[in-house]
Amino acid sequence: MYRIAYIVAAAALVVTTAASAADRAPSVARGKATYLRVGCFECHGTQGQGGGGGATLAPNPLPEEALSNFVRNTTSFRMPAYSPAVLTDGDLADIHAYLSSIPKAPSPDSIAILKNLTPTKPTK
Amino acid sequence: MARAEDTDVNRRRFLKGVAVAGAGTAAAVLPQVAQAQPAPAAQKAASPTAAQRTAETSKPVPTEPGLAPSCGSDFMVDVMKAVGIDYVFSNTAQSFAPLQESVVNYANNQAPEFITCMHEESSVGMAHGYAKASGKAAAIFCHATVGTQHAAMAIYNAYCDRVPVIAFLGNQIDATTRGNATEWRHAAQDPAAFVRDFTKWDDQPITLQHFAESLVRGHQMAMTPPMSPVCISTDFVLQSEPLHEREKLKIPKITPISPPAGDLASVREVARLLVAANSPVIMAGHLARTPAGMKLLVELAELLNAPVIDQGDRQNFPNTHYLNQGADGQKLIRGADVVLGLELTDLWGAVNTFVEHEAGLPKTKAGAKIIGISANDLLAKANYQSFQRYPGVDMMIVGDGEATLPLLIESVKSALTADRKNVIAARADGFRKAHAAAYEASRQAVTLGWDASPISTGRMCMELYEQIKNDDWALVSVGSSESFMGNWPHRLWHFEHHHQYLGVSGGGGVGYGLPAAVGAALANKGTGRISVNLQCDGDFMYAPGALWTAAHHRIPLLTVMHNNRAYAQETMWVQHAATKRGRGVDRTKIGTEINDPPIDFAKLAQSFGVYAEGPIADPAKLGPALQRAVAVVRKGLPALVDVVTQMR
Ligand code: HEC
Repeated sequence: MYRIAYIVAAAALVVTTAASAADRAPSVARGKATYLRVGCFECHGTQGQGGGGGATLAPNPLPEEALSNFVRNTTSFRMPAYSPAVLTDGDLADIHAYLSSIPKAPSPDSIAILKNLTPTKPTK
Repeated sequence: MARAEDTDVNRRRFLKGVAVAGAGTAAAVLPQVAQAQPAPAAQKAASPTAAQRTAETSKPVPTEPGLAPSCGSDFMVDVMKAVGIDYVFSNTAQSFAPLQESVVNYANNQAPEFITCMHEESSVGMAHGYAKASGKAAAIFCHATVGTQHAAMAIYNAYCDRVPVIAFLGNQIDATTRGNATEWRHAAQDPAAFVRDFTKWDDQPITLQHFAESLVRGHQMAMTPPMSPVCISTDFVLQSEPLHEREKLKIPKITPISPPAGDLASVREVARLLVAANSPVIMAGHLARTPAGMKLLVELAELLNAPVIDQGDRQNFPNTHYLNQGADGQKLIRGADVVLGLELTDLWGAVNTFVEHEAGLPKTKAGAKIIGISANDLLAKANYQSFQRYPGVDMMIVGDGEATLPLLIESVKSALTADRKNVIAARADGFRKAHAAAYEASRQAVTLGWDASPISTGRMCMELYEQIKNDDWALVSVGSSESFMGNWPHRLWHFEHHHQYLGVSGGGGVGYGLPAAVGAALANKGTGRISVNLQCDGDFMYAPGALWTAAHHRIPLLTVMHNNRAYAQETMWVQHAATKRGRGVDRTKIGTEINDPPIDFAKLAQSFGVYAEGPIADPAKLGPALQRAVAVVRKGLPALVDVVTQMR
């Protein structure tokens, strides 16, 4: 629900966000450091994996504009909106670069302890 | 307070002894000294207090098991036996020393056995876990004043979680028996007042016959749904006095408990609505008090092909069942035409969206019927607000959910017509597919961050499951919420039995996890079952001494530390506030991180004599460490693995 709403909002606001984000080239390393420093990892995990706290952000993050608009404007009860005073547009672009750099997760079929798991317990 | 009984000759002789002992300086300090000494070898009696020593000069000291009852506290133990109390969880204290002595000598430390605890909050936490795992009431002894104050938060947890704990509060009612300043400080006129807002009942018996009747009544009240803690103020003088004419004392008949259940007409109406519904949803909170509750819910759900949303307060429904539809819960509620809430803590919140200062918005569509069955209102008190928002539903049956299910099932069977049976049967397929899809989605999602360090909560939970899945296992504690570890156990493990999961703290009071796990593991001891505790670091540090209790009593329990080195939940809230106010987040770690210095939980556990490994931050090393730890638990001992984890 939120995701859809913010993608729509992003379309309207894309001009401003894109303009300020373009000031410097986004950096994966800086993005990771910022992601850890400003606490995104607390709710979303260091690799954007999500879990009990926040949504899954990576791999395949939202497009940059949609991500920025969510972070700037969310009214979520659980996630605070980050103003430019706390997180600049450049920071957001860096975070997006970091999240985009996170590789695809391995298939559970390639992991021995997940391979044979089924929704009902296999009888021994 | 002078009392008529004080004219009793023997009592007077005893009281004189106390007064003499209290006058000497050595006597005044001795009890404290005795408590400060290292605990004696397992299950040996503590030294008697000075008061006792003096008192006991006038009567034989019971040193051999199997003695005839000779003092008031021996009779108290007889009553405890009669109501079936197997263990007393307690941090030793002078005000119940005679009773403790009766447990260890007169009862030969068997049923009840004295379990050495290091804090009253741990005593209650252990009793809480034990009661849930065993299905029996559990007892604690504590000082009426300072002990009850320590115990209070854990009693609140047990109250919110509907758990029968009997707290014996050692008191000294007769002021003229209080021989020193400490005995005055440790006496109260009405000790249970402190916890009365969150116990069902209490009493302060002043004779042994009165005690017998109080305990039998208290036990019955604690065990009658809605179950709850009760308190019995246990007078030191009553414990100490010589026992004459034991045969005149009578333990009242113990009446089988018949829980309150819904009335026929209302239950039939619920059945009619459920059978007529096209998209019924069942939600379950503190429903399955016993394994039978789980079976009954499966029967009801299958009769209706109604999806079940298990809220995690107990193992109400197998998560392997195709009707377990928690993953789609919110969607199902929005589409429901009938919602049946069974023993929900917060029925309002289950079907409404919160809007600050406003009445809230119904989640369900217009015309949906909301039905509640719960005994909650029978335990509601005014002060603490655990009774939740007024639900304002279409039907509310105030009765125990599990006890009402048999009648509801029979009523549904009678209401089912051939037509409805066909409609209902057609629902199954969609739920089977959704159940399989939700499991597969979780199996895919758990791979995110699979190789991350700190270790993801998903990886931790799945490495653990791999080690225990072919055993008879039980996840005895997850602390206050399984969401702290991403809900991975219920997303991917196979919970098919009631004992495999015991729910959470109830009141959200931190410090529940470890003691409750130790108490539950004690209940599982000797069954070959592997008790597993997913233990948050912040919660652990409230009561680390509980782990010593596990070592001391050789309780097999695997504790896996979810060590995210923070009060993660609060980190999020402080972060939330700072960000919202645009003030920056750099300082939000102040007061929320537990990282400087990092706590070495393995070393801490080892210092208690517990097998331990860690800290482990490399996910590749986790499986083998867990395997070694499980081997220790299989031998009947506790073990701990410290896993450095992601926040959630
Ligand atoms: C206090 C916890 C918390 C923090 C801190 C936090 N988030 Fe979130 N975030 C959430 C939650 C929870 C959601 C899911 C939306 C909801 O439930 O309201 C979410 C959703 C999102 C989404 C939308 C995902 C989607 O697919 O719909 C994005 C993007 C996001 N967060 C990015 C960030 C970034 C970037 C940061 C750091 C600057 C951050 N979040 C910090 C909790 C948090």
